[in-house]
Amino acid sequence: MKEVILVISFLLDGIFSNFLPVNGIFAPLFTLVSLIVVYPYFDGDKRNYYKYSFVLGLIYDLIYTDTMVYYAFLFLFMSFIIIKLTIILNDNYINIIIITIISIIIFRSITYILMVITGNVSFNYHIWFNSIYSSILANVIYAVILLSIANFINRKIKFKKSHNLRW
Amino acid sequence: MYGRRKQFDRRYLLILIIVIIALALVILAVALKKDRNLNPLERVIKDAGMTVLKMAETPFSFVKDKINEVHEKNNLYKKYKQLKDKYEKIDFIISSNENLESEVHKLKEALDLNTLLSDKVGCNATIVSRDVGYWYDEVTIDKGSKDGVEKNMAVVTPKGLVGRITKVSKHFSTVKLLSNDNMDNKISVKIKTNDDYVYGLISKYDSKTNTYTVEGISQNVDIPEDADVVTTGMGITFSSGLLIGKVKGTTSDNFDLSKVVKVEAAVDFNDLDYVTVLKRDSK
Repeated sequence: MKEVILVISFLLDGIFSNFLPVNGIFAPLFTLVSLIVVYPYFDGDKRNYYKYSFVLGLIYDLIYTDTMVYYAFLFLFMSFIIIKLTIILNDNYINIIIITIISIIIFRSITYILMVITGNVSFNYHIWFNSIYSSILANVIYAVILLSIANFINRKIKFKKSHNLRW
Repeated sequence: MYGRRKQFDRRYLLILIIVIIALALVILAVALKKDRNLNPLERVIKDAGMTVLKMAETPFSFVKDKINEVHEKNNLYKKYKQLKDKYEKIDFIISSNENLESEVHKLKEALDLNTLLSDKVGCNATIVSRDVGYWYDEVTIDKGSKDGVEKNMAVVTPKGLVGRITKVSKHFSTVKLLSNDNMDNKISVKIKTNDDYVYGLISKYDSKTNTYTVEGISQNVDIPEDADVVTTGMGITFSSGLLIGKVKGTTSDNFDLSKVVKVEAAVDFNDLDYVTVLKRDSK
């Protein structure tokens, strides 16, 4: 279940980037969103969660951005933040949206600051804020859709299990 | 005792985070180096992943093509009229082109020249993914070293220059677009004035207005609006005569010593689907 969500979100990241304008108001970050939505399904198994996010980040690096292991560490750090946030905010729709927004801000800011420090991008407030607000809309919508689908499927599976037990 | 252990854990975690950030910095600096080649493992995984992505993309691109087709059908008659006008001129252009080509060939033989700056061969490619990491202004195309694509080749669309190849794997390669805000290597261009060319360097791109900034042009040259801006072929990467855009306006620089020309890009970077990779034809 969680593997399927992660893999589909990962592929959608690449597919959507191909059908949306490069500098438009929709910048997909679906892999990060799927990590947020999927966390409750690990039942608090943090170690396993860290492993999943590291591997996902590694694949993200190798396939999409050619940055060796940078995103692997970033996703690891993001999963740490997501765990901390889900302790405060548990998983209903509004809290998931808040977590998504906070993690997007952290994710983009870290990458931007590191890119500025390494001299790949020049510093400019507009570019920074643009990168954040262009990512928020599409990803919040995706988070809501993904969460409702995941809840729906999860309920069905649970129902089936209890049904089988009774018979 | 339990409390002390927890405190230690937290401090340990802080150190770990700092180390990770420092490490990330180093990794980013190394990974984004301009002249980095993909190592064999990266190449294999990238090929496999991109193949899966391309397969997953097929239904989406099918729908997109269908929508485009419907759009095209709506203004079919208008296009037909335009094309008819062009078609009447094309025979003349072809014949004169052939004539010029044979003349160039003869002159080349006479002068014993092996290569011209404008010689190039093309290879068509489809874009598989576009700028997923947001910061890198890169697209991935579905042609790689197997099809003869090499690093630093120019990538164009029928409208004009798009970028250059930076990383190559066996079946896919990465194109760095010209639309990155600070260009790592400046491109030498020439602007057609009334009877001659003026030479300059592209220094910046502004994504909001889709314009380049060309610098290094002397103050006393008159540059007409809508003049074509093309590459010179004097750099390492691009061959000459690739269209970059049209002049939109001129201002002078901070010291009033030289002209700064705004050039509107010929290519719309938001809407790239098919591109052509050009390589210099050196026999």
